[in-house]
Amino acid sequence: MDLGEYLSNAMETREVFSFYAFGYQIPVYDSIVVMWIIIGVLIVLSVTLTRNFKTVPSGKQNIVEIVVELVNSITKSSIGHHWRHFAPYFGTILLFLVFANTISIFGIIPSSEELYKLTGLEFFEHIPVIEIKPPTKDFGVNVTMAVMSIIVVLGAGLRFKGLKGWLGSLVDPLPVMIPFKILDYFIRPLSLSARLFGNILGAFLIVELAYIALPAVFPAALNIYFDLFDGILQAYIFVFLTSIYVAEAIE
Amino acid sequence: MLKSITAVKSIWVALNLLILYFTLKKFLFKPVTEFMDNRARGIKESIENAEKNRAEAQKLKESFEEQIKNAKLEADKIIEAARAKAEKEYDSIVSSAKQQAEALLVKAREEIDRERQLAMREMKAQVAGLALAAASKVLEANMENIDNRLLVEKFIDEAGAA
Repeated sequence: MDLGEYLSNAMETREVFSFYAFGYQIPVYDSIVVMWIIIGVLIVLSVTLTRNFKTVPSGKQNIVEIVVELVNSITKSSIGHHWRHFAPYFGTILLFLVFANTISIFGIIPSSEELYKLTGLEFFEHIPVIEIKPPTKDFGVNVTMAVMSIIVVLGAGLRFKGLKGWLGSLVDPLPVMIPFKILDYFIRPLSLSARLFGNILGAFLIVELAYIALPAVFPAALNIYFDLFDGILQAYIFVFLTSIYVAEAIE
Repeated sequence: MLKSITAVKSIWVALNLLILYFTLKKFLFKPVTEFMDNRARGIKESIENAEKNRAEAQKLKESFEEQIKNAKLEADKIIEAARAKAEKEYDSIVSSAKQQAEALLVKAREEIDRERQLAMREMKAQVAGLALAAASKVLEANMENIDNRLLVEKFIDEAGAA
């Protein structure tokens, strides 16, 4: 397998399995399965970690409070007065992206294919191949998230300004601006998703290349930078930009 | 890259994220934010209460100090008055005692004088009788008449005066 083939194979999103429902054959991609894993972990954590809260925080409660406080303060600093309506959405996106972008840290966990080769157990042969790769490496996922964020921006503008106010914001300061303002609603999700996709895919490819070139210590350092630092940074940028757009839409 | 965008995938992603959103909102963001807000409010209230209580205590302390000061002044005044009264009482008791003592002394002196005069008079009478009896024995004569008796008494008076 040459390098180009290896990389394009690594980039590709694969259909893991499909099932039949509502009269359609519905495919499930590996990025969706990884998403399910992340969402499952987040839901379990959010339900178990928020039990038995005490006035004086300790242990796990501290971590939960720091996370929520961070999300609240990001939202507060960019949106201001109406932050309560948006903090849960931004928090959801932030937590999901942080986990999604950094999940290749857990790439050490062998795929079922490797487990089958390693152990020879029949059991693993029947499990579809799932490699733990960041779902945000899949452009489709990013585009969907960016479109959802823009829908939130639009919805926020309509809700807090009313239809008239929102239409007014399109002609502000001059009616000449209308085409650009409308273009904004297409450019913003494109830039949001392309930025995230490019960063995560680039980091993923660089780390893959490093594993091919120098499989020992060197990729670990790259992993820490690209997967942890860049992953968290990109998650923050995505949420921050979305919050800026929302703030602009409702002010 | 573009072929990785499919409607089914977008629906999956949107569905997943909506489920995650509603779950996290219900179990994480809403309750934790409310909890922290309540705690912040509680802390603010207790700090305000503490401040209020402190101010109240300060006011009470000042009023107590004022009262203590007044009480001290009052006590001083009472003690001073009592001392003055006691002094007066003392003086009056002492002076009345002195007067009584003097009066007793005077009375006693008068009594003594009177007793002495009485005794003197009785003694004179007895001495006169004895002298007459002695003289009559000496003279063997009846000198028991009035003239002699007056003579003897006169003599005794003279002797007493001398």
